[in-house]
Amino acid sequence: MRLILPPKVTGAAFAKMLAECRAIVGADAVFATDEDRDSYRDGYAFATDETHIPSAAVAPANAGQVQEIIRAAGKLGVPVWPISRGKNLTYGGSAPLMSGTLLLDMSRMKKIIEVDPDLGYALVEPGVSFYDLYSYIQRNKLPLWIACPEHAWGSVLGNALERGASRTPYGEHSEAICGLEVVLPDGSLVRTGMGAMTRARTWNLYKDGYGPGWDQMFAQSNFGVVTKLGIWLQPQPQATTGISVKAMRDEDLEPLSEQLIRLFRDGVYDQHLAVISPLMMASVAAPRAAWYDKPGSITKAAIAEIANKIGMGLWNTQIILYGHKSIIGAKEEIILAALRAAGSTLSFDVQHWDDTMPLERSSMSMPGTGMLEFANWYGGRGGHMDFSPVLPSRASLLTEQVRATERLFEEAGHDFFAALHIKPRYTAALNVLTFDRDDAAITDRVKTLFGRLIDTASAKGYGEYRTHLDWTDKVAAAYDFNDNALMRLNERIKDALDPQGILAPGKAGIWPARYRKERAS
Amino acid sequence: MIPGKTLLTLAAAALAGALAFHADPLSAQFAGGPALPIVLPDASDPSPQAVYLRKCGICHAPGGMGQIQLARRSGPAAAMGPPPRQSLLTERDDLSEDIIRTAVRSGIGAMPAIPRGDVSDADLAKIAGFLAPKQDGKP
Repeated sequence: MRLILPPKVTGAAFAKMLAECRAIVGADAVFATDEDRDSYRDGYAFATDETHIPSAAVAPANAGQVQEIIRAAGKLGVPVWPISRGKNLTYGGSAPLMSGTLLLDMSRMKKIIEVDPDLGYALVEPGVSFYDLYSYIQRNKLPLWIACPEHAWGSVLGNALERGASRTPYGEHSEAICGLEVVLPDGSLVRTGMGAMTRARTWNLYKDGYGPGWDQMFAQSNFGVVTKLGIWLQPQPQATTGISVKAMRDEDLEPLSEQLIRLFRDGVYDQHLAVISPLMMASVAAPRAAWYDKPGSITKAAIAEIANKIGMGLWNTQIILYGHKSIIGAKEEIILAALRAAGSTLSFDVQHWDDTMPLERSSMSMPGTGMLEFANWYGGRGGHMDFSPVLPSRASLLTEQVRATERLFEEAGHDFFAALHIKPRYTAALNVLTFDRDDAAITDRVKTLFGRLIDTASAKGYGEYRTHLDWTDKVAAAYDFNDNALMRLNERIKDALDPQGILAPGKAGIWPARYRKERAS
Repeated sequence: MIPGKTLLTLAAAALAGALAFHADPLSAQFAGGPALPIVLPDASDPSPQAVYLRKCGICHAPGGMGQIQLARRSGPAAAMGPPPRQSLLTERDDLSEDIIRTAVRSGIGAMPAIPRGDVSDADLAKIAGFLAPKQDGKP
């Protein structure tokens, strides 16, 4: 891909920026060829579009180099888009929102600075992947478990800041953040919470410090570049019990959800689970053509047939209990009794593990990438985007939303995959839109459908918790109380911290004054 | 369409571990039962094999997306069960250093391109040298 300069930046200023970057990190860590630009584009988005194209990338080795790069960017007015590892697949990968933006690729910053096996936390740099952290823990035989999302290729730090999730008790990754080191847009370095003390001994133990707590200010924002992140890790439990649940009828979704919500809210289990439709797993086993060969949205009868073939229900989940054997034994009885009361077509499979048994038989969150296979459902070069509105955890509303979403997918002629991530008070209702990246008929259909999904959810008062670069401004615009007062607050903070507008313009819909006209209408 | 019986075998294999929602539902099949994911070598090991495992093992070890994709090319029945030889890069005898380099930098099929910030040119040279068969008869 040929060079596209950032808006409002001259060729001379950009060339000077690259020269300064080479002086800071070395010539072998500045990447500015056509091949480099292509390699940093979003590998899971529509290949039919020419959007989100970086101008170049610079890869610092430490926080000091990040500071120098940010200062140079401020001096020369060159916008910079930080990526931790660039594996934020579904949401933009390594690509910047605004074409021409220079990537700040922190993949080389891979230090696991500290893992405390007693207090249960890790302090990591942006380039540390879930696989890296898992491997470190296994190599050192530490009694800690990671909370791993669907694919383990990504950054622990980046995923937590993007509010990623996993099906574990520590599954709200942004809530497990404790203490950040951040380079601000003027190049200065701050540490949040207790880390603000020079001799801090509780940086990664107590979140707030004294005065305002700022950790969450740097989640899904463009107010700073996070160079270190403390994250709490789950102590290895004495035992786990996995209760897999299959609901054989579509109408079981509501009573099943109702019981799951109640049990979670009552504290009987504390793990972030998902209720999924069978296509989620069928797509991992084989692409669509292996299961169904008709155009249009796959029929309910065909889905039921697939579920039957692969031994799944029409809705499926797994509750995992962690802790002392006697306690989780009692919880298992409560859960099974509640679920049996919820429906006669529910069936269960219970797997017990305790620490006298091999670890691989436990319900530990294990890193992998196999689940990414679902992106290849439609064949070709697979891609996917998720539509993820946040709903109240009321079973009737969840069911209503699923039905309404199903109808929109049917009207669009696209297959409907759902995963309801149920929490005690809210549910993130993920709808996975898979596509062949190079098939314009499919990508056009997905674009239209995605827009309709956002609009219909917004009309009901449901907003998305996270979205792809393509939908950033549209999703942000739905947060419109009092003439978008929250965005105006974000912009005031942005302009105060980043008056030159160099850091990640447009991230989460937050445009600096300099680039505000770039916002998608 | 895959014949019904094969499909059943495939799905049963995939789902034996899948209901447990492990992120890596297929790896269990290769060891004849549940298996822990591979442990990546420490960064202090500069050997080509260690670099390969650290940079590629996540997807190309058994049960990773890359291995599954390559297994599918060997036929639908090969997507599950013991990995066919050609689905493991370390077992391939038809990879040249040029092919490896192009696949990494440009992406291939469902594999996204891997930028130089993630895998440096020096690391890629080690990986390509490790995977490509030696043409000159030297080890």
